[in-house]
Amino acid sequence: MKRIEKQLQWLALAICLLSSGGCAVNSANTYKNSLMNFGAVQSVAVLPFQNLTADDDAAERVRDTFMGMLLATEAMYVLPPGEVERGIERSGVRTPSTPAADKVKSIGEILKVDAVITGVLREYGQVRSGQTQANLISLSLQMMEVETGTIVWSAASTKGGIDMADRMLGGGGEPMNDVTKEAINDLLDQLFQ
Amino acid sequence: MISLTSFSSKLLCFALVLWGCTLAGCSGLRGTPLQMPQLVAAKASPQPALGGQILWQATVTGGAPPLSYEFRLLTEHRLTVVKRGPENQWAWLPRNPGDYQISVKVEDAYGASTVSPWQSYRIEPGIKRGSRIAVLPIENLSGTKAPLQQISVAYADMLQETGLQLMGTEQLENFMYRHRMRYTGGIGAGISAALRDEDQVAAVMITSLESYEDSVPPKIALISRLVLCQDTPRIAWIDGVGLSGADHPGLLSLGRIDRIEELQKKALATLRASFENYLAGNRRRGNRSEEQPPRDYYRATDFSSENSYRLAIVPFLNRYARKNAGFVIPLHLINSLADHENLDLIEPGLIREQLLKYRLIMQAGPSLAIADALAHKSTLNADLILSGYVFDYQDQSGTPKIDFSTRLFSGPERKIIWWSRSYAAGDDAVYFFDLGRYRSAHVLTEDMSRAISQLLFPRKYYRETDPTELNPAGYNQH
Repeated sequence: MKRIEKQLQWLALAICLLSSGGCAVNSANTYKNSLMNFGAVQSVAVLPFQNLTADDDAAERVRDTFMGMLLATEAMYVLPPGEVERGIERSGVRTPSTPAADKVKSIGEILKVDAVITGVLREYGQVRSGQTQANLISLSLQMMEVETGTIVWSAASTKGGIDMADRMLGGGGEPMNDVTKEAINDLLDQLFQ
Repeated sequence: MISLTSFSSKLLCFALVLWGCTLAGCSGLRGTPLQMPQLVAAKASPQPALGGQILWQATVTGGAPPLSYEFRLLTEHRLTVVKRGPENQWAWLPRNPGDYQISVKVEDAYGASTVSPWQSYRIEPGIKRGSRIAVLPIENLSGTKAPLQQISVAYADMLQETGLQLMGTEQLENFMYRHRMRYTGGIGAGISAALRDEDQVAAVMITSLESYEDSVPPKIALISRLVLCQDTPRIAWIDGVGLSGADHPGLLSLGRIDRIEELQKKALATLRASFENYLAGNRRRGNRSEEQPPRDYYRATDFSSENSYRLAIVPFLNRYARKNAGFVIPLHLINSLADHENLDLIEPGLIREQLLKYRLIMQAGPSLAIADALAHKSTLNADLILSGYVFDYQDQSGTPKIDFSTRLFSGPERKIIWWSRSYAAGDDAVYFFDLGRYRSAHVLTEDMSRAISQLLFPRKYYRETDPTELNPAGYNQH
């Protein structure tokens, strides 16, 4: 009897773990603070992205596209990069891509924005597998509320890479700019869903 | 009985008064019908381009106030609303020569409108044959070594053939030495005034060498502009040319040009022809190819292109593109926006002068403080500031590749009203042999810039048929 009970306990635990794992599949890349009123965010400053790739200008390219596409949603006003640069200089942030909470508050006060967005560009460029190659991007973003300096939204997206069609037909995959747009659209969907 | 008669007469009087009041009220509200407006210019036609403002005054009777005036300019079937608002005056500073037609549409508070007949007006070129001009040494934006002296001399010789009187080389060198003038990519207000006052120069020809490659097939690209020496220097004419030796190979490659000298001569002749066209009082015409629209863009919904703007295009930030690419893209944008009647494009030399004067350094594009400085009346008085990033500009051997973004900043509103991202390669549209291939980065950039200018300030073509309007000349043939 005890043995059956123990087996049942294990089974229940396994079901719990599996179900929690299953639930996590859709939201593993996204965190959204349920208490945050995102409609109140009227203006944001997009700080320079951290670049973990070998391409020096990749982060700036992606940031420019992200800023433009976020502005085009008309959901919030995105400060021009020159103004963001001024805010960074005035607040004295040494590493603008990874600012501390108090520095986020400081930048927010100087620039008079509701939130600050930071990002990490993890992959940007071509990936190769055998004779096949394709473009790949992996980007994660975080939004921080300036009043508290806490993260209210975090998301990541990876787009491009080698798929079956590339392996079968070749062709080199989609252009880098198109893959970047796909990833940013995915991130914006996650922000506004 | 008496009282009854008195009552009925009082009632009658009251009814009469009420009817009278109603009538008076209605006439007070509606007023007399709106009459056809009279439009009068302060200066008689013709006038030279950029020769000073021409004040147009509309006079109208009737209509329920407040009245709204819409001044319209028609040239080559292109209709531009140049001013809209309660003022009945419009100060016009014509920038391009040609035949214009001007009209005003007046609308009253109840939406009743009337339109004045089109009035023809001729604008002559800003300078005449025989005017004295200075041809500045060519600015090298190609990022490579090029025989600038030789190109300058050849271009000056060609310009002299158009009937212009050129300032002598020695005299120009003396002037540049006297004024410590080293920058030849533009002129500021001080240099402009000095050239006019000291050497009686009417205008300056400023030419930038965009691309130069003397291998086979050779490539050359030039952008040239004429800037009038006024208190505020203004661009009177601008055009560019980009050629590759392999542009028209023809049958068995017999049309291929392998010598840079031949290509250079052809490029300079193209510029000269365009300038001759300007001197003849015609509007700029060119063999325009396809447009390359931006891949993504944002345009603020409240931004109206139907207004007159003073536009400053600041140097773009070069993000790992080739040397001087940040100066090339603004020149292309100026070239594509120069035809817009409602835009007053600020001479790049003037912008440079102000940026240096106030030590405005833009590490990541204009900030609000810099935009305020450029928009201030004491500096450039710019309504709009266009900036951007250049990510790629490949114009040397191989397929050209261009990647840049633009941002338009509204000075008075202090916000971004336009953003675009354009990228293209010369072989993007090649599916069958070499059809649709761009061989020159200049032509590709020109098409991309023109598409941006069309989206930013869309052109309207005259289609309206209003019985109160006279048909503009030539419209019916269109």
